Amino acid sequence: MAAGPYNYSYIFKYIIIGDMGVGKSCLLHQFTEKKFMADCPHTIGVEFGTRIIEVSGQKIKLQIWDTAGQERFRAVTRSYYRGAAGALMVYDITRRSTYNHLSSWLTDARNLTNPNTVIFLIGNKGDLDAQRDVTYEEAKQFADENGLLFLEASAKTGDNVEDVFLETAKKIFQNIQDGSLDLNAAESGVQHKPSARPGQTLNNEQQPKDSNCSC
Amino acid sequence: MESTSSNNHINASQIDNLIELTENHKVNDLSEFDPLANEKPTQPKRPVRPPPPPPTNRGSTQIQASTNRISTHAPVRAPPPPPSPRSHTVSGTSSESVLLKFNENSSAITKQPARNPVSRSDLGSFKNKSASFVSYLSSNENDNHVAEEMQERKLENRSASSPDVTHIGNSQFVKFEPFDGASGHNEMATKFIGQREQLMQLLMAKRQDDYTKREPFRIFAGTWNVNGQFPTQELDPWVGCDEEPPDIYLVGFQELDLSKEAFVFAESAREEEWLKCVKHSLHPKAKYRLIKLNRLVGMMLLVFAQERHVPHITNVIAHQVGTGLLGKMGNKGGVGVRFDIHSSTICVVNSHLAAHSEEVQRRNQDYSDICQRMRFADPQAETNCTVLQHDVLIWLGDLNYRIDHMLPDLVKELIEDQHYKPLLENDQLLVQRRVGSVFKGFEEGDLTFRPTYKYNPGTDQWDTSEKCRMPAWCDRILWRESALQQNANSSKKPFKAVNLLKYRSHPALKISDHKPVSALFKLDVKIIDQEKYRKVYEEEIRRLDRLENEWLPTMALSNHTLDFGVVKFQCPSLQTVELHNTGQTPCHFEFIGKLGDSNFCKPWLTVSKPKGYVMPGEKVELEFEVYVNKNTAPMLNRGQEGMDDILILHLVGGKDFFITLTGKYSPSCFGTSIEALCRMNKPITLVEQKEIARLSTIRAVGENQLNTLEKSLQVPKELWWILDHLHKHARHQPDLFQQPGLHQEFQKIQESLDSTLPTNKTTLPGSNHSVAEALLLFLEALPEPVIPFQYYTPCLEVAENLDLAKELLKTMSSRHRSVFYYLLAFLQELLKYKDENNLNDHLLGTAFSGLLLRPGEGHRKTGFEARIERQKSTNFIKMFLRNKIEE
Repeated sequence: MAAGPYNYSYIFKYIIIGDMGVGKSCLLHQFTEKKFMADCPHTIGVEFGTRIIEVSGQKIKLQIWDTAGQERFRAVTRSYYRGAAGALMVYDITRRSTYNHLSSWLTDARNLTNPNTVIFLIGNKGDLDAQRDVTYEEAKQFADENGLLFLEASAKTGDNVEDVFLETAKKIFQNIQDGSLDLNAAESGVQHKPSARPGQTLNNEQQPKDSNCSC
Repeated sequence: MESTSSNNHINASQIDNLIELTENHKVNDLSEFDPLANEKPTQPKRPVRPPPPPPTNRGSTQIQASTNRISTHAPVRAPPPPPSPRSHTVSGTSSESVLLKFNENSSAITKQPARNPVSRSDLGSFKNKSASFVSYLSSNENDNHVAEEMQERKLENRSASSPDVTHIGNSQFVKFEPFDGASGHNEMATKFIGQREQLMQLLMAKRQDDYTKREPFRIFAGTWNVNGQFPTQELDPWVGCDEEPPDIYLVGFQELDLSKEAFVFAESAREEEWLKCVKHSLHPKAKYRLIKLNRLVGMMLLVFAQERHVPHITNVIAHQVGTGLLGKMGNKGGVGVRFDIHSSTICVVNSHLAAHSEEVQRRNQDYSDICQRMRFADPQAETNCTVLQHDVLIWLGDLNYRIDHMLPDLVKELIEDQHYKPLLENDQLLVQRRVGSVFKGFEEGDLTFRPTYKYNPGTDQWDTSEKCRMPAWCDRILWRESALQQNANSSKKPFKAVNLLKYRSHPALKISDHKPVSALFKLDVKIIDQEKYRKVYEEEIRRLDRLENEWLPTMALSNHTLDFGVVKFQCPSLQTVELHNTGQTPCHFEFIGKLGDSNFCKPWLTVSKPKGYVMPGEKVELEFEVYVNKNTAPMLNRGQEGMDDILILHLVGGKDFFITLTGKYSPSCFGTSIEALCRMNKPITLVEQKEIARLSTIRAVGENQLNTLEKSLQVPKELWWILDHLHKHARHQPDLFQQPGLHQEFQKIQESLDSTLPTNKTTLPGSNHSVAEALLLFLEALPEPVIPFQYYTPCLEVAENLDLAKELLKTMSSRHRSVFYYLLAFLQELLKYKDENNLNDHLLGTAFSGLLLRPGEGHRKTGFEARIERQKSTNFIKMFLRNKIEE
C-alpha cells in the first residue's frame, strides 16, 4: 500500500437513529469500548463517542453522535442530522414496532442529510434469535428497496458491530474516491487534511537504496 | 501496514526524542487527551472576556491558568504543523459576538420586567419611592425605549441571518455542523491526529519487547593508519583473522593518501587500491557486498555486509566532517555512515583526530565538532539525525591520544614486561573519558595489546627516527548504546545489545608506522515480528480510543425534567438543576438553540447561567425561572404556545443533554383580547382552552359576520368590574393613578377577575391604588389595544377634529368602540372630582393615550417623529376628555 509522502487523515461524522430501546447507545459503547452495557439508561440528549479506524490504509476518525430515541425528543434530535456522512438506522429484531417506524426514520434521514450520506440499516439484538419478530429477509428486502446497507448485529455479543461502522466508512471513503462526495461541500460530513508530518506515520515506506551498493 | 519489515520500526533515536519531549514538558500520557487542554490555547486569542464567573464558582477561573500545552519540537523531526489557523478563530469570534449580542438581548429581556412599573418587584418598591403618576409615565417611556431597543436588536438579528452571514446568525447551532471551525470536536480532532502519531510511537516503543525479537550479528570493526603507504601486503591477518565470518565489516583507514592532490582534489587512486585489497581479504566463508564507501582525503570508511543481509539494510547515509586546517579541512576530522539493519539503527564513525601529545583539548574538540556537525540527512527518507541518535554508535580511528607524564624508556620497558597498568593510568583518552571531557557514554574494551604507535615501518620496532615518538595507543575502537535500550527494561537488568568479543591489534601488518586494530562485536539486532507488531499496535490504538472517550467531558444532571406546575400571570416560578461534573476533565457547558431557533429558550424563561464551567468533581446549580409578563401572556393565553419546551445543554467537546420543561399556564384576562373577553360569559379560568384559542382569533375589525350571532357583551366584564369598583370607591381617592399598587393585592385582584363573576354587590380585593394599577395593566396587556393597531395612524391624523374622529371610530369593532367610550366616560367622571383626586385632563390624556393608542409591530418611529406622534395621540384622548360623548 503505497502511502506516498502525504497521508491524508479524515474525520467522518456519524449519527445513530432509531426508536427508543433498540440499543443505539449499546452499539456505540460496544464499538468504542468493546464492552456491553447491561443497564444502559435511556439517552436523554445526545451521546458522543469517537474512535480511529483504518480504511484502505487511511486513518479515519469517527465522530459518532448517538441520539435519544424517545418520540418527544424527535423534533430536537432532527437538529443533529445535518452534516452527517453516515447514518446508522437501528431497529430491534424482537420488536416489530421498531421496524415499522423505520420509514419515518428514513424520511428524516433522507430529508435532513445530504444525498450522499451513507445510510446503514442495523437489525440489533441479533443474539435474541428465539424472540425474533422481524425476519432477516424482510428487512433485507426493505434495505434493498431503499438502497440501504444492511446487517443484523448484536451489541451484546459484538457480532457485526465492528463491520457496521467499518462498512459505512468504507462506503463513504469509496464515495470520496469516485468523486461523488464533494469534500468541499459544507454538509459532506467529512473533513480531510494532509497528514501533519509526513514520515511520522508508522508505515512510511522507504525503499532500500540499492544504488548505494556498488559491488 | 503492509510495508516491508525493515521499515516498520521505531528507532531508538526517535524514542529518545519522544522521551525527551515528554520529560521536558512534563506531560503525562493522559494530558494529551484532554480536549480542553487542546482548546485552551485558542481562548486567549478571543477578543471577548470569558463568561464572568460568579464569586461562588471557584473553579471556573482556574481553567484559564492551567494551560499545559506540549510543544512538539522534536529535534530530529520536521517541526510540527502550525496550529491549524483555518477559520476557527474567525468563526469563534463571530459566534462569540453573537452570543454577546444574545446575552445583551436576554439581559434586556430579564431586566425588562423590572423596568415595567407594574412588575412584581416594582409593585412593592415603587411605594417606598413615593413614585408619582408622572414617574409612571416616564418609566412607561423607558419601557418603550427598552422595547424599541429590543426591536432594533431583533432587526439586527434578522439581518444577521441574511444569506451571506448565515453561519454567524446560526452560530449557536454551529455545534451540529460537521466541521465548522467553531466546533470543539473538530478542532480537537485535527490537533489530535498529529499528536496521536507521535504518541503512538512512544507507546509502541515502550512495548517493543512485545513485538521484537533479537538476532545476534557479528560485527567486525577495524581501524588502521596506513601512513600513506601502498597496499603491498595481504590484509588477511587483520580483516580475515576470525574463524567465523562476520556479518558486517566496518573498516576505517587514516592517512590513506598523503599526497597534495588528495588534499586539494576529491580523487585518490589509493581509494580503489585499498578497496580492492580489503575486498580480497574479507572472510572467505561468506559473500560480501559493499554497502558504502565514504572517504574524506586520507580517511576512508568501508561498510560491507554479507549478501544475505543486504535486503535488510536500509537508509544508508554517509556524511563527513573536516576539522583540520581552518577547522574544516579534511586532513583531520571524521567520516561516518549510518544504516538500519532490520530495526536497529547503527552508526559508525572513522575519525582522525588532532595529532601531537600536547593537543588533548584539540582532540576533544575535534570529537565534539564531529558529534555536532555530522548530520545524516536524506530528504527522501525524511531522516535527519546526528551520530548519537542511533541504537548503536561505533567510533573507530586514529584518535591520537598519547601517554602522559612518562619517559619513553620506562614506557618501552613496561611494555616489554606487558605491565600495562601504569601506562593505562596515564593514557590520555582513558583520563579524559574518566573526567567526562570526551566520549561520554561510550565503552571500550580492555587494552591488552601493545600500543599500536609508533613503529619503524616494516618492523615491530619502536620508532627510532629523530623525533623518537613515544609509544601510544593511538588507534582505538569505542561504542555507545543509546540510553533508551537501557531504560526501556529498567525493571530487568539493563539489556546490552552490544557485546565485545575481541579487541586486539594485528602487528603482522608492518607497512605503516601504526599497527591495525580490530574489535569483534556481537550485536543483538532488533527484528520486528510483523504479526505481533500489528497486534500490539491495535491494542495500543484501542487503548488510546478508550482513553479519549473516557476523557470526554461528562456530567450528571440532578433532573432532566422541570415541572413548573400551574403558572400564573406575573407570578415567578423557580426550578433548579444541579450539574455535577462526573468526568475527568473540566466541563464547559452552554445552552444552545435548536435548529431554526435564535434563542435557546422561550422568552418566558430565564436561566441563571446559560454557560459556564464546572471542574471535575464539582457541582453547579442552575436556576430556571418562568415568568409570564404582558409580552408573553397573549400567546400563552390563546394556547398558541404551551409551556412545554426542550432545552439543549451542550458540553463543549462532548455530549448534549435535553432538559424538558413542562408547565400549565393558567389563562388570565390580562393578555386576552377584548373580542374574546366580551364573548366569555364565564370567568376565563372556567373557559376551555380550545374555546379561548378560538375566540382569540377574532379580529377587532368591523363586524365579523360570522360572529354577529354569538351572544356578546359590549364591554369585557372584567373591565366593567374594575371601572365599577373604581367609580364606586375611588372617585375621591387623592393621587389616583399616581400611587403604585401592592403586588400581593394585585395577585388577589387578578384571581378575582379570572375566577369569579362580578355582580353589583361584589367588590375587588385590595386598595384603590392596586385596582387602578390593575386597570392600567389590563389595558397595557391587551394583545390588540382599545384603538386597534390599524387605526393608530388614522386616529393621529384626526387628532384635532372630533367629528372626523367619531366618524372614524364608527368603523371600528363595536366592542372596541364601546370600551373606548365607556373608558372615556369613566375618565370624564373622574375629572369631575379633580379637586380631590388631583387629576387633570393633561395627565389622563398623556397616560391613557399610551395605553389606548399603540403603534403596531411594524410601526416604529424614533426621535422627533415619535415625539410628534405622542403629542398627537395625547391630543386625541384630551379632545375626547373635553367634549361630550354621546354613545
